[in-house]
Amino acid sequence: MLTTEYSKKDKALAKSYGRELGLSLLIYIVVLIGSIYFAKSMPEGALRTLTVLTPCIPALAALWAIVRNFKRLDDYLRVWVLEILAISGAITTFFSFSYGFLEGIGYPKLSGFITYAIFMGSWFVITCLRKFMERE
Amino acid sequence: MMRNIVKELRTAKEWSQASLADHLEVSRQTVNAIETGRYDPSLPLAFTISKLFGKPIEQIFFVD
Repeated sequence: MLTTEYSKKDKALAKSYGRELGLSLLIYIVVLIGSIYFAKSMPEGALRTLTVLTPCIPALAALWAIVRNFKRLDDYLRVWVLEILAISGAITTFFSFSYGFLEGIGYPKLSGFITYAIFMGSWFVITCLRKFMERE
Repeated sequence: MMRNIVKELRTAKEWSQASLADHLEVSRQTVNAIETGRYDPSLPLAFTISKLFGKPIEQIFFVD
């Protein structure tokens, strides 16, 4: 049976995390759009560099929201999430390690950003798989 | 491997997993993991469970 009942702790966690992360991401999107808009018409230089870096500030706020959420989790959930993060990290490392061999025989060089996508993708897939496997 | 009778104690009180989680101030997922033996609770949580059900820890958690 798949239950959808949540405890007060679950609801409080979701509410706080949703509010903090949601607000950070909203500010990030606004700042990102603004920085792209203003940076286009700016001459090259330190000010333009700083302008394109401004989305890093709300991105840091999002990171802070994630860290705060970790601290609010109970022991089991913290271990559960950290195990998934560790496996995602291992998958990402394994991919970059393996692809290095392929690059050696002429496969296209990939952007470093691909590791971010693989890490986040692994995190999502493993979380879904584990939730499915541990369903009641 | 550790076993426990948390599920039996909970159902005797006619509580759902979410109700027990509320009493223990943990997530429902944590209660489920304890009941299914996937997770052995920390010592403070084991004491809270023991106090809640009015039984010594060793009567709730034991080695199989």
